[in-house]
Amino acid sequence: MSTVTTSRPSGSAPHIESPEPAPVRRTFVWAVLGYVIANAILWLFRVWTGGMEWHENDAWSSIRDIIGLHLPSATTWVGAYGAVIGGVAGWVGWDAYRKPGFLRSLLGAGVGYALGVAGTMLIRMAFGLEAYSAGPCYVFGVVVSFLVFTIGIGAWGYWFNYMIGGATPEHEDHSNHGARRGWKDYFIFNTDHKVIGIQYIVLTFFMMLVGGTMAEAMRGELAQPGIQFFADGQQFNQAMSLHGIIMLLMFIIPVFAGIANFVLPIMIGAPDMAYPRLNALSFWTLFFGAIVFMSSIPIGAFEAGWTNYAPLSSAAGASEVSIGQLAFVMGVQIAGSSSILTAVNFIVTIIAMRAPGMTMWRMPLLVWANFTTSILVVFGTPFIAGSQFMVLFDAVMGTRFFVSPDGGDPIAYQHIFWFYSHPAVYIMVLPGFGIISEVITTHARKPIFGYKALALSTVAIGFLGFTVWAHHMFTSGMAEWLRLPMMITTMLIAVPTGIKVLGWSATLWKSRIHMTTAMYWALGFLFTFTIGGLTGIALASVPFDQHTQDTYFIVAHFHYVLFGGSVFTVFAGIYHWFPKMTGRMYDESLGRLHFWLMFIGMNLTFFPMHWLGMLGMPRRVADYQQLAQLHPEASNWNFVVTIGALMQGVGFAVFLYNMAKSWRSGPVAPGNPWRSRTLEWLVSSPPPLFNFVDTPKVVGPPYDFGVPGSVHAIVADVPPAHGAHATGQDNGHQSEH
Amino acid sequence: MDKQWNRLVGYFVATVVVSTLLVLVPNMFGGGWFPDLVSVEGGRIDDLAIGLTILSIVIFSIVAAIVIYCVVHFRVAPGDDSDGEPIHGHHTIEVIWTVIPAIIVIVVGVLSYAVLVKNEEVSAKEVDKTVFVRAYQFGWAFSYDGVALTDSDGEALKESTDLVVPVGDVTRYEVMACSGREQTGLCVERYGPPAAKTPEPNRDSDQADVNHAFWVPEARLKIDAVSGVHTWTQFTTDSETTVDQHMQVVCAELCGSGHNGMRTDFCSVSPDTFEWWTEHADVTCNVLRYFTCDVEGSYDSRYAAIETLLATDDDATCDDLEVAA
Repeated sequence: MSTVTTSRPSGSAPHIESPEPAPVRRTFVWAVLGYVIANAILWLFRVWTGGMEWHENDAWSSIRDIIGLHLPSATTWVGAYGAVIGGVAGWVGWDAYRKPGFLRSLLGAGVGYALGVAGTMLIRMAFGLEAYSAGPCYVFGVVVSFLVFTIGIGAWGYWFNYMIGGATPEHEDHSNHGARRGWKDYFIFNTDHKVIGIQYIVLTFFMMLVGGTMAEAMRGELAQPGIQFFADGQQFNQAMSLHGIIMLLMFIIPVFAGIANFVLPIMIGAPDMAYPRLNALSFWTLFFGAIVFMSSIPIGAFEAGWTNYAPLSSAAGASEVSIGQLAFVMGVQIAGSSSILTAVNFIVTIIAMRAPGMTMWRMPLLVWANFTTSILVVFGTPFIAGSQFMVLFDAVMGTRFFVSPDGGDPIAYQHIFWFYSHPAVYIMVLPGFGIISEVITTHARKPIFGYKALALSTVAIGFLGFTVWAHHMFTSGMAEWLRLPMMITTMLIAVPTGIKVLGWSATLWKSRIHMTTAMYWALGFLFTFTIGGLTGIALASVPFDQHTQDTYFIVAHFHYVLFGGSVFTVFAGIYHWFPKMTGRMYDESLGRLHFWLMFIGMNLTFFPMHWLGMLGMPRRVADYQQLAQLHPEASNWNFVVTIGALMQGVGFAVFLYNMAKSWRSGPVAPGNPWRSRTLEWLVSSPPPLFNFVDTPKVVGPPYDFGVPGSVHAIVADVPPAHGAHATGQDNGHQSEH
Repeated sequence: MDKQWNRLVGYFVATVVVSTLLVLVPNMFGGGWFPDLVSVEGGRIDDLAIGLTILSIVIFSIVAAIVIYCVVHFRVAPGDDSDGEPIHGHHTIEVIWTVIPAIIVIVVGVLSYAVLVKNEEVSAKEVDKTVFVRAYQFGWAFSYDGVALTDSDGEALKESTDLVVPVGDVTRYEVMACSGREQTGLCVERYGPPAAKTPEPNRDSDQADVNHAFWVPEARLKIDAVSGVHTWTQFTTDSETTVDQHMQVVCAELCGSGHNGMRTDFCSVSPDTFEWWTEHADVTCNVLRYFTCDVEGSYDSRYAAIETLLATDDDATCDDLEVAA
């Protein structure tokens, strides 16, 4: 971010420029103190709940209990948290925890959790119950932790003051807006959509690294028959469940929100999202969701898969439900609410914030895609929230929603769950369709083929998406008559999807293709997504599904759609807008290397999975010893799959290196390196604080490449001294600082 | 235009060849796509799968051929500033591309439904045999409607651990998830047979179990076991299980830490062997397979010979048995 000028009033941050040596000793002392204090609190809690006691005759044992030499797991993690809190305080001073920001929220998360647990225990005692009960204490701990975390980051100050009729100086104060002081602006409650977009993207790619690590671990286990890598099936199931939910709710859905956050307001000529504060709250809500999922790893994560089918997830009647299982439920609720807040924001932004002249039929296709996606999110997400609440109530409060001997119905869970989670696969791919439209038309330098058909097919997919959920349940024992209508509607989705594929491939016809890295990903997407779509049609056929449901064929199918579909579009989008976001160009050769490693690795990984599934390998198995005895080739295919997964891991490392290196020291990017026509390319890279000096005027369609005299938008140039106007026609337009 | 068209057709044919070779890799380097086929119903599903694959190859090749053609012929050097032809769309192509896929998927849907109806045409009352399949964490148990099982000592046996069915019988599998291990009677009473309707509410949830899925890959059919819900599937075996065949009932729905090991043996036997087995229901499929060997003698004497043979050699062949007999 070296292009950002740092002009601050002198004296506002004295200890940064002061020549004082770093307070190493104070940091160390406070870190140790933090470790001991955090563990002491945990120890007091355990004494209270009867898990530990003060050893009368052996003070040394008690001290070892307190400083955490006995119990590695929880004590180590809580101690580490205390050490971080204390160490940071020692380094920059306790004052850092007084002002709103990342540090205060970090402290708040821990304090809030402790308060929530303690409050629950007090209430339980007041009613004469045993003070500690894992379920209720965990749930209320997380809820209070979330509230205090968001208070810590400073999410509620403005709204609270406004509510009580107090002064709201923040209204005209833009100091928390934009990245003007470098990296620190990414760790505050920043209301700039561009900062939030990058916050989203960095967080989600970090989570992808976590989810990818789980995937590599699973492939390590499955490289050979037998259990080698994990301790047992339970541990494998935990890694598998974490991989699934992290990739879906912590990577694919929010990374699209991140890309759209950065790009979409500029595309429609708006200075920001409609609700900047809500936008920031969405991000920090998601961040807390990431904390919840990650914190479940040391305590024993959930193990019922990302679908979390009851009654396995609610363990009703069979045994005590684990806290890890509740972490799934709470994490989904939190990530889901973040998703809804973002979607509401996009809907309002797209309806109300478009620049003059930006009619619906002049909106870039990415805007159409995000509009449809947001509507799906708002209608669909409450259903997954409902399903997880019912699981939570069954597990913690003793309700019987999914306990059949008491009149509950386990299949009802699947209906409610898939009523969201099928539209969710369109939530995960429609924004990607939008990105592909942008990338192909720009890098092929040709108007998109059938703009209106592409826009309307997006809406059609969104609508049909709500009518097909039970195709996940053909073998679930649901009402038999449902199979025929669900089969037909599922197959019909192939029609609008086919229109999209036609639109993209026909755009390439008689075009001028520039094989940039973004274009590689877009074209690779056309291959892999088509394969995923075709196996989707096969799976919609009930008899074929009866054999392949819940096998590796399904795993192959949804990775072709979600990896070959969604993730490929994410990479296309990241490379396409990288110059705009960072102001720097990425390395094309590394980008191509990344593409080929991933493309070949992806096909090596997921294509043989079709064969494994048809051969009889069920999904979600830690071991396939018995299958390999019946069919020796199962071991060979699994080994190939693992090789492919390793290749993808190498590819991802190349990607991270390319991004980090180019962001730091890549060549400075011009405003419009791809000579594109949409509004985000007509401002500088990165764009100025409020995107435009004057509100731009939209006067024509977005993709008129090669049409003489056609102009999409008129933008006042950034240094007003020039007095010049940049237009979409003016391909060489650049405005650098 | 003609030259372009010819080239495009060339790309298409090449893609068809390459993608056909790719999907046939298991046939070249392994045992084929599917495990052995042992059911009449599964044969229809396999035919459907082959049809769907051919359709997929054709559609994939159309898209791939267009994309590859464009990349080869319309690619330009980095410095090229020219624009492509400003074609905004083409109504005829768009309509064709909408109508033809719609027709294709409707045809596929109708054919699939025809297979489904054919596979389920025998009603619950007309089937030859009904098997109650009980799934629990982490195992399987089977009982037979109207058949009393006894073990080799003549003691009544509520359930068998292996799934044994007579060849050629249209067999209906009534599947339940029920963990009352010693209480098969209770499970069947509560969750099946079909006449039993809704289960009686009961505060004791010991009988509830998590979801499982009953799957015999060689029969190609699968159905979830859901506690309290009446689920079923049916198929007809078309051959006796021979010595070199080894088939299993597999749990396909994640059911907990032991999910990957939740398997038991499945075999299809001649009606006579089945008759004998009902009185020796503790005999496993591993042994029953050897009754297909061409060896003379009563069932009991052959059983003794097989047991003796398997005690020393668990990979014995029919020849070994003939030699031993």
